[in-house]
Amino acid sequence: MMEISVLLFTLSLFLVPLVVLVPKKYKSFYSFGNVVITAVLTTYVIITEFFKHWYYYEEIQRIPLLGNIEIKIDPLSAIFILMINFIFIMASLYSIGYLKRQKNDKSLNINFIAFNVLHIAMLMICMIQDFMPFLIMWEIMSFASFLLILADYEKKKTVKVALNYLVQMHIGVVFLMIGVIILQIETNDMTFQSLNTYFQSHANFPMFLLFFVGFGFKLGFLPMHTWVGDTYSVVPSHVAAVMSGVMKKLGVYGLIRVLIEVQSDFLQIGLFLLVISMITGIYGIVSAIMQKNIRKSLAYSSMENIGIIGIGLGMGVIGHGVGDYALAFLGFSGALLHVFNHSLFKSLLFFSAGSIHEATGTVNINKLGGLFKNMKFTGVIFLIGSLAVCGLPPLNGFMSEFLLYSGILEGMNATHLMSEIGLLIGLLALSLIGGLAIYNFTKVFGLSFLGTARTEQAAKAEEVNYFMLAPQILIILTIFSVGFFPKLYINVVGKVVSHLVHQAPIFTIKFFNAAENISLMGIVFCAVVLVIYILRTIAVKRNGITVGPTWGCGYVAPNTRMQYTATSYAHFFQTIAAPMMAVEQKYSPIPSNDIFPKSRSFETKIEDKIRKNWLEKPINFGLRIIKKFAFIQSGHTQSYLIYALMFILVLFLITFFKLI
Amino acid sequence: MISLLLILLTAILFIGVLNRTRSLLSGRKGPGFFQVIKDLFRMFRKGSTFSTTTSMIFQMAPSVYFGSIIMALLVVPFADHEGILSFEGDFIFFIYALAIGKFFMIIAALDTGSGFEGMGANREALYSLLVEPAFFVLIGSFSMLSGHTSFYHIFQTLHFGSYESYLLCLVAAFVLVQIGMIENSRLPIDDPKTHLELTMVHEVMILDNSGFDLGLITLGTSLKFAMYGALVANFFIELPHSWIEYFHHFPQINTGILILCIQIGMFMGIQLLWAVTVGVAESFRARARMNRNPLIIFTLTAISILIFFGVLIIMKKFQL
Repeated sequence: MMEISVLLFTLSLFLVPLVVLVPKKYKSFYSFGNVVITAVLTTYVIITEFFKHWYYYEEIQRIPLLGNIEIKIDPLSAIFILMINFIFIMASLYSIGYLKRQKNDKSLNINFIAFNVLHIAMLMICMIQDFMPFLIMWEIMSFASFLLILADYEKKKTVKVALNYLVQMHIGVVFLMIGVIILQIETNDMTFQSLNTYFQSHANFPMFLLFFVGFGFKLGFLPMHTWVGDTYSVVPSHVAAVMSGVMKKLGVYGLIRVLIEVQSDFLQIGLFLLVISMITGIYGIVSAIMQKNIRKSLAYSSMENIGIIGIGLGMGVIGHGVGDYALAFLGFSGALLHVFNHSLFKSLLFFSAGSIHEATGTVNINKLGGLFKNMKFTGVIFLIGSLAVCGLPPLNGFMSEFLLYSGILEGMNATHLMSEIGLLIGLLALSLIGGLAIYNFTKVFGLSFLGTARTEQAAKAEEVNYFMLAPQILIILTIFSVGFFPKLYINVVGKVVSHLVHQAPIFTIKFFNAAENISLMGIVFCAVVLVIYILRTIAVKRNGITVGPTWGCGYVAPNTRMQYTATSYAHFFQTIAAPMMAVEQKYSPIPSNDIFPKSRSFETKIEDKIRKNWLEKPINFGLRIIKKFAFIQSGHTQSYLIYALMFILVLFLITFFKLI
Repeated sequence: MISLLLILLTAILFIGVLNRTRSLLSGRKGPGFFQVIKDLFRMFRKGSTFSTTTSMIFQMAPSVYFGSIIMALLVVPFADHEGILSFEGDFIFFIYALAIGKFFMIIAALDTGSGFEGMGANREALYSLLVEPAFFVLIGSFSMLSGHTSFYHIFQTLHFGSYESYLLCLVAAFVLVQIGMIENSRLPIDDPKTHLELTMVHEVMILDNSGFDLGLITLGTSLKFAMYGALVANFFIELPHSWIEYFHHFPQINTGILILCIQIGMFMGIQLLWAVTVGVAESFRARARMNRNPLIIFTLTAISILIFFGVLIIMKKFQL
């Protein structure tokens, strides 16, 4: 069965470019078909073969036509493949509705081809067990996503952002390549096994650091995060969902592959991961709070979630190192479950952000407001997404965070002092991030969906079409299934982790009891709220209802622009966040002798301090130096000929005097 | 079950005690003990006014807020009796359940489209969310000390510890009292009796709620107040073994019921003390400057971290 699937999978590659021939109206359906075919083939293999013998299923296959690349599916690959397929099908379905009004034919072709290629490349990354093809696929993935970012290539900003993304991804790959080359030199092997061999005989931390930086660029760990905000603000929403939902997570995949082979230096690696994840998470959520663009805010919130996942990985490594398997287990499985959960709610939120953009033409919170009245479905979807991303019970985000918290508390019973302090860092980070996430998402949801419309476009918004709503509803159902039947998902994740750490799953009974109790509490909570709400509605109806304007505290002529905005919501927080973010204000102050001030403008710009000081300043410095040599490039053929002549002359002189 | 009933009982009584303390100390006669209950009943019977700006969310939020507090109450134990539901890690659920209520109250305030309410929501959000790490680290430390992660087991094991752990309990009680004050929007972070919208926090957030909804919110807030009192009380409700042994000399008395009665008495006493303490503290304390508040809140986290290290010392883990 596997052979046939592999063959078909390869053949489906050739279907992708044929999208050029399809009439414009059906292109998106064709692309959707391609995604489904690829997804079904890969999922089928996993479901039929994999679920039969869970524990140590590894099969090696060779893909024909591509020069016999070994592929192997182990449990870790399997869950990533399932996740990729699910999100891609949803995104592709969404794009049918989302790209309807797209006029540019050429852009559409490239977009669809790149989208399908991205899907296949990501699937391949999960199956390949050899570093060379892995890096090639990694590059294809980066390049395909680069093309997808370029969808709006007429805008100058898009091109700049896309190039920035491409360059940063390549810097990441350089680090990976250095790592792989060292592995090749030291062990004469290029499969993933070489990591194991290398780690047994060499220092672990430096090699881990190389891979961490390499994958960190994709994950957006601090300070490799500078591409995150801008990139997500220009890409089409279905691509943003895929990029943030699953593509970033392949960095986690890579990191886990490295982490499970580590043989020593556990504590250093674990503490390093915990600290950098804490900084990344807090920095991410602080940046998210400062944003007024919904997509940017979501992008930075991804960074925060990467922080949470990193905390899980750090716990896992520490647990692995000190031999506390409960900690290792809960850490790794919390991280993996959070990867899955994040892919669900973040893609959902990006879809809804796309719907807002479709309906109003903007994603600037300060220009929205009151959308809930006209866009009930999108509103409820965004609300559920926000609740999930804040990790509130009974939705899915809470389940993974609960795993992590349990892991931390479980691990605190261990004896090693450094690991205790590491776990304290994790606990602080998780709770602070959790609180600030609520601060952020009340802002995003409350100010864009509730209140009164701040502009005319927002007032005229209409609900989006069913192609765009359908995938969001499917994702919500999945979110609820994780929230209400956590045992199912925790079991699957636990089995994957048990394969990784070569230990039988040791979820204690008390832990499963807790998970069951939480889903029970979730149901009770819904019931309690429903009962209170019904009682309250009856009472309110009986007591009588008056309708009037909002109480303006004595002011009788309030207008829509007096509402709180994203900028003012973040203003108070800014006093705390000042060390990380700077807000630039542009306005002309009112002179004291001005009796009748004219209308003036006020503009704020959020500046990422790390980006400014660590990225832009060195680059500008380098540019200034390089520009000093610009006179060499004169543009005259004559001078270039002179350069060549001089070069030959110098060579001649050197050889004449036998200097070389 | 007992804890739920006791908290319900204390919630409606002790806000009256608090108000009474404040008014006595400021030289007023003040409202009677039962004024709060009378107010509540009046609110539940009053008609509601809804703004034309608001949507479904605004009407749902008070119910969700109240429901979330009920859920949090379910896991709070009382002395050696479990809460209605008790499981490993229930204190994580406790905080997150309260957070749902906060989430809905904040977006409901934003739903009214009023600048004042936006401001109130913004401040309340920031204060009550920044305080979460303090609570997590505090209970996390005690969970480390006791080796359990549920409220019930933590409090149970704590009482069989050494005298050092009682010292920690005192510090913890101080932090918990402060957390409770912040969570319930009381001094020094917020003054519920203030009259200017610009300086209010919680009160301005619920400015547009009326009638039954306002009743729900008020009742919910006093429940929350009593709930934190109950958590503080749980640190201290314990009968010395000698007493229990002494009781066994009298076979004609039902020891279980006697112990329960003493525990309830202690609980009531501690709750009363908690209400009076808050009242006294509020009478002699000025409200902090708005921009100092985050500092005050982070100080609590710092104290919690000290408790964490205190626990490490008690457990003799400072041996590298």
